[in-house]
Amino acid sequence: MPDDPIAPEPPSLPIALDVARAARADGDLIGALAIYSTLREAFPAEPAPYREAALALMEGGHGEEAEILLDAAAEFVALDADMEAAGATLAERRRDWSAAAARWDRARSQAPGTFEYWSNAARCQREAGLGADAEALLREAAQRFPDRIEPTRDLAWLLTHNRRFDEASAIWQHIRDAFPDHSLGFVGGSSVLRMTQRLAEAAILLGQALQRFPADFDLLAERAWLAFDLGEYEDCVTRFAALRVGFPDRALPPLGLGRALGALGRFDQADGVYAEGEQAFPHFDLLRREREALPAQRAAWLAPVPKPAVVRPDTGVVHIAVAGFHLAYQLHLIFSRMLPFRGKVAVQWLNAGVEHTATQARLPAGWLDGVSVYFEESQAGGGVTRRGLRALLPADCEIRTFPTSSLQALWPFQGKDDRLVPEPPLYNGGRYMYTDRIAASVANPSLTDDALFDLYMELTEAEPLDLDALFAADVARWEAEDSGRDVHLAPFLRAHFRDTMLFAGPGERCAPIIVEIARQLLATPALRQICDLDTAVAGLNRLTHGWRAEDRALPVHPRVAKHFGLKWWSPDQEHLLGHSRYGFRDYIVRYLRWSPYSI
Amino acid sequence: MTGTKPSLLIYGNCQGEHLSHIARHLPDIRDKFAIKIIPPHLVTRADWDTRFNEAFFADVRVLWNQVETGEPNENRRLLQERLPKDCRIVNFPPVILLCLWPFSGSDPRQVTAGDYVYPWPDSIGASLDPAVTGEDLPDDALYDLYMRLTVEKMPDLERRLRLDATRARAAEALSDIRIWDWIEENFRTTKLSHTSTHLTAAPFAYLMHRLLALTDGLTPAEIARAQRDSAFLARGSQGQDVEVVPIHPTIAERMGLTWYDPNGRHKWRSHFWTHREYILKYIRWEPFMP
Repeated sequence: MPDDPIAPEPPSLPIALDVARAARADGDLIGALAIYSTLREAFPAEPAPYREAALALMEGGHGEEAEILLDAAAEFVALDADMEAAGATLAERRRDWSAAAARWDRARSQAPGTFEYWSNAARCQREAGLGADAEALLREAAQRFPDRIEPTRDLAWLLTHNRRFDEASAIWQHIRDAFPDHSLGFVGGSSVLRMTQRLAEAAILLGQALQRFPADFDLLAERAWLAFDLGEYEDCVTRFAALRVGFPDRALPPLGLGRALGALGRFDQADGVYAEGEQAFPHFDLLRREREALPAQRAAWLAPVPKPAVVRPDTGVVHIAVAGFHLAYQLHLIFSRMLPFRGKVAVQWLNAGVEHTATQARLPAGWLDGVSVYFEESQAGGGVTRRGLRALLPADCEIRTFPTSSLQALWPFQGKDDRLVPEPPLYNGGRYMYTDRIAASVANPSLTDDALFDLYMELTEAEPLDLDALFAADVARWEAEDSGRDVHLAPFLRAHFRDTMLFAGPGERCAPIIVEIARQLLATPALRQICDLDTAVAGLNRLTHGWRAEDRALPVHPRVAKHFGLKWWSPDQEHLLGHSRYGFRDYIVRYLRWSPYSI
Repeated sequence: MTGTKPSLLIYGNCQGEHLSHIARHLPDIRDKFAIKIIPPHLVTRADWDTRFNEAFFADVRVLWNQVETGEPNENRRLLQERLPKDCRIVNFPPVILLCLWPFSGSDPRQVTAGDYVYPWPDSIGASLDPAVTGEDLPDDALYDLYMRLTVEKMPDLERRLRLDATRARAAEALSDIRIWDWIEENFRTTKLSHTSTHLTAAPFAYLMHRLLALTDGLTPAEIARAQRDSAFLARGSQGQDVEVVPIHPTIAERMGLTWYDPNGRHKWRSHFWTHREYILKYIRWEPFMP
């Protein structure tokens, strides 16, 4: 018998692992598993062949086998952190939160410097109903990783979900201070404010945040939810519809859009939105559940709302109610003061910022019973307030709704400026309400005015901008705001944007817009008992002759004015700031230096 | 008492109110003093028992006092009674330019006005109200009539200016600050007043500069800084421009107002009107937006 041939040297472990990985990379799961099996026999005390084989099984969709393998491995080798993490992931997949939490916790013990293990362990503990353990773990993690936002964030969310709002609020504030470049502190802070019904404060907080992070999805979604909480369902629809287009990979916008449409009674549209969402996000179960709940919502909506009996006092005076905020207040003044209406109308502004019961109490007894015409601003108060007010109106009252509007495209340099903070008692909302990100980046007190201004102009001229896209977004928003309302502004805004100063700042409506809204509202048939439309419009024009309705003005950059060919713009134009007026250069230099001005 | 800071009290008409407004913007003043204001033209007797009682005066260390000629009225007597003995007083004069609005007299419509009012009377304009004359002329005819009557009845404006100067110098005799010479030197080349008593930013800057220099309790450095801040705030400031009463074109011409633009638009609340538009609306007492 010839001697046995000399057995070849087995490959070293690293080389063999590389060969197995190559097989995995080629999709050869069987081949890779065979190599790992050989290696486990050859190197029984090495954890790597167990770990990688488990990973390969997981990749191949064989989670159970991977777990069995890991359990078996525990008899031969000490599982390292990676193996525990792999096991934890498998346990999570089968929603065994206790097992997952235990494995993440072991991984954390072995590799305490890896903060993800802490977060994951806490998350699974929470899912397993071990809230106190999760909280303790997150508090420790937050101390151990002060530079990482995640543990503190998770702790804040945990407290928020547990409705420990004061503690949560303090931690969200800490996040805003410690991580000023993250939007999360604002998102969480706003959530707490919303959950505690402090909606006005939430609006302020989000307003500040969106100045800094104007395109942040979470903030924009939070703002849309705030609109929902305020009962501003039309606004909510607009916001979520825009998010659905801008962030098509996010499942939240269809959910929010569907809910807002449902709140408006537009159930068929809501159903369509949910259906599309279910297709795009099959794992987001909420969409299915919301869709299933729609029939019940529809039935509740269609239930009759009792209206008060019509007892209109025969005074010969037409009662007009205008509900909303500042725009509504201005319109109420117009209808109160127009000469053709003198002595023939009683006009009341219904402040949408207060509960409808308080409004009713403020008015003369029975005044609302006599309302013939009810004008409603689109942002008019919460749903409860709006529905409450409408429920107080006589059944035959004519209701007309009008949109608000804004324009962003003329001020494309808006953005974060850390100098904007409340400065009571002079500048409660901050010194320069409209911030400029370019100016914020070049503010340098050591430069002369000329050098500062030149630097600003150089940078703003070089800034890449797609002004047409910005304007297209404005137009799309105007059209969305017009949708479903009686007054339509988009055609007017488009037609006159270049030849008339319609906005003095992004949200600063000038008189022509307010007059146009009033003009359209004057067509309400119930007003014909006062005078014909031509007489009414002539009275409107006479009252508003020379009216600018200017509260404050933000200069339009020459580059922007030139791009859009603004006929009303002039380089010498002066802009109202507080109690002062400044030309473009003066305004910019003052802004750059964050100078005080007389209010 | 207002906290632990002493108080700086400003006693004066709407010009005093505006000075208090400017003072609140000056960090050196704000940090050193609580700023208080008594506008005597708006004060009732009851206010002296409530808002302006003895406790109100307890911490007043500086008074910027707008002087008045003639016998002290009750408001001033009460002021003098209640001021702490150690209070340092800086006296300053009011600025009044009646010569540029010589038709200001009385307008009975102000008494019965509802939710809007034209507070700067023009006796000739008031006499042309269609409700009085029984005839609402077309715009051109009505404005022409107003212009004809006002030119016919135009007083001697230089004499009116001398009267303003006499009144101003009488007040300055009681004051630590003089401003009339500066007014006379500049009012033809610079707009100093929006109405007979509502001023533009420049006279306020002039007054404030001197009030600060005479205020006890501020270091020289603080005075210099506050003066600089005040001058900075004045740049671009419109002063008391809530209502601007347009000057009659003939008056502007006769007084040689070089800054005057006969076609200029003037701020009236949130409107901007020419002289003609303002006069027609005033005559007819037409409503406007606030």
